[in-house]
Amino acid sequence: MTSSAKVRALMACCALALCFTGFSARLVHLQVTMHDEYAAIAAEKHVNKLITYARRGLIVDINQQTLADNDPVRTVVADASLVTSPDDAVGVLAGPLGVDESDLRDKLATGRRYIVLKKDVPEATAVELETRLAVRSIRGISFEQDEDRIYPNGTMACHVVGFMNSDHQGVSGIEAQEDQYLRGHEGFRYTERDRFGKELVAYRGEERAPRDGYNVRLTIDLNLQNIVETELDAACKEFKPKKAIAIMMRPQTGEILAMANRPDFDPNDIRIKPASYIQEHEADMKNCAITDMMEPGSTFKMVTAAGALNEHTVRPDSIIFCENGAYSYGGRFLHDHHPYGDLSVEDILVKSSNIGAAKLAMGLGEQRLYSYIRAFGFGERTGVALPGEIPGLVYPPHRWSKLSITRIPMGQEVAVTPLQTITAMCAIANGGHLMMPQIVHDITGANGEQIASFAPVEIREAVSTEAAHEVTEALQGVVSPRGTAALAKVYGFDVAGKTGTAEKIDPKGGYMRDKYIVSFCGFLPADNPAFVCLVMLDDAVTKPDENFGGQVAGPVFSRIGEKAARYMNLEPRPEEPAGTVVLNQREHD
Amino acid sequence: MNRRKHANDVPVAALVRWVVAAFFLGTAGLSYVYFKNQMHTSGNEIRNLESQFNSLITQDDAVRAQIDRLSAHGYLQRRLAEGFIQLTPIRDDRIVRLHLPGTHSATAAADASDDLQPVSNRFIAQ
Repeated sequence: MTSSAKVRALMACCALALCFTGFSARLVHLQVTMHDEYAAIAAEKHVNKLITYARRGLIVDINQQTLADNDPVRTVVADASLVTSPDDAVGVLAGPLGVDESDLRDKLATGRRYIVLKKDVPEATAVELETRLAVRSIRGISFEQDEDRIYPNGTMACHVVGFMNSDHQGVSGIEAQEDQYLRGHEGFRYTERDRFGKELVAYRGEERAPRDGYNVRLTIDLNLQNIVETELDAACKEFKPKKAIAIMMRPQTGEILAMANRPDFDPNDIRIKPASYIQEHEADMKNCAITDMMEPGSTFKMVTAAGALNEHTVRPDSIIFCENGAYSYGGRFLHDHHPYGDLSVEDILVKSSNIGAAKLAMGLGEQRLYSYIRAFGFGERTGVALPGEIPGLVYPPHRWSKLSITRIPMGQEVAVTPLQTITAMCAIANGGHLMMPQIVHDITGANGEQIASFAPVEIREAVSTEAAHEVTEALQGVVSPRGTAALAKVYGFDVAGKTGTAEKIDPKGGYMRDKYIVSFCGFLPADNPAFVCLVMLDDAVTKPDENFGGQVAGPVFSRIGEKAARYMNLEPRPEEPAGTVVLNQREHD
Repeated sequence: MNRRKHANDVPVAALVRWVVAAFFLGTAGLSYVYFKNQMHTSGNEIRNLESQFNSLITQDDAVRAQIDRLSAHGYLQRRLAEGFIQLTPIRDDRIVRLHLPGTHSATAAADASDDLQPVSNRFIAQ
């Protein structure tokens, strides 16, 4: 070989070597440097991440009756790039989905790969459509799984249960408060698809199963809730109040057995009505039992009396002179509804004497009165597991006026929530123990395993058992013929309770004329209470001389108490009624 | 002679080795294809079963939601009001009255007769 030939061969070899070196460099660049980027592009083409949604947990009552459940629905989605025969697809879908054919055709004509055709399609309709599409070999239409939250009992316990927004997040009530337990965790799965879009199960990648939401069991008993709501509705029909509230609690544990507000709303309407509906009815959706505060009126006298008896400044039979109905103090007169002379401490509660209560408080002193108000839980949140609770308003003694010591004992100059009032009454009923109101009984998994259980919580001992029993005896007198709430009696049972008739505060200052918040809070049987019940009506329409707690709220309590006692199978006292008990009689139904 | 004879010998051992190797290779190849197909077939079956399972769960949820609706207080009360559910008031002759101990009427009743009072559902049976 000549030298020129050798040079040419060498050059050719070098050229080839360079060429292959270039190829190698490019391969290294693609395989090493650009690996992640191209791998991601490739994965995007054929690997899908499928989200598997977790079912939201149920909300049930103490007897496992459902308050909130899930109804499976589908969202119909089209991939217009895969729909080869839009006319056929429109023909199959338009009728069952109830959408306009031309609208459907326009949507499919856009060519987009993800078009939502209809939401909230019932499961049965979706299954039928899937079959029809498969028979006609129409591709590109899919049915995504979704859920609707339904509330089978409609308005019942609506303020407790709450509702969800369109993003499946709890907005109010238990739905909001226990959202973290109810929501669960969604799962995922990486899958590969063939060129027809069919999943290649053999090439499944990483996956995580969804964890369904936990079920929340409330302390609410729907049967008692039904009794309370039925009677509250009847009261609203009769007295047409602006608002009405009823709460029933078990005093020994603080469990809330029923909680109802009027006006109410149907949480099922939230998802189908426009946003303006929610704005218009926002006030109806508030759980006023915990979010509204008001002057308690005479129900507050039990706190004053309990404090005085607990401090032994008086005894139940101590006589207090009630100034014959008009008591001048601090340059202002304090009046009783009826003029009374000497009254025992017990009778001060029975007759609901404002002057008597004021004198009890003065004997107690400002600081000690304030301590007892706080000991009964006023001025702080009760800690109930419901969102939006307010602490009420109780000023410390250094902010009191000279008149406060005469006004606070009868439930003025303080603002409390209805739940605080009934919680304080529970403390009297159970022997002086202030219990935290409990609305959630336990939380269980989908298979019934217990995740959390909530034991009764005693916040503090508000007063001694002896003082609580003395107040209870006095409160029994309130429901006797000589008391202010004779109409609150429940035939066959000893009832203890206290009426309240509070003037409504005028936002402009002072009190509104002839506007009252009337209430009755009582319990039965008085010696071993099965339940405490509060009935409160705001601005009831009635005759002016009948607008009192004992005459408006008392009878409502009586009817609730009678039905609840029958439902709870409480044994009536043996003396009445005339030695016989009638079983299964439906005289009041 | 002998050298020619040996030169035309068929290398049986080598042939057998190749045939066996080819057989194993072929079997391995076919098995690979077979198992791959089986894997895809099983995958399809798994997918179909999963689909059926999910469908059953969904149907179960739908039925449970329907049961919840139909057994709700409000719905039952509405049906009761419509007369779909009939409750018959209990007649006086079907009520059993129990005398409470320690009351006058109970004592009087006990004095009147110490016999045990039989209670039966004879009226209902009729």
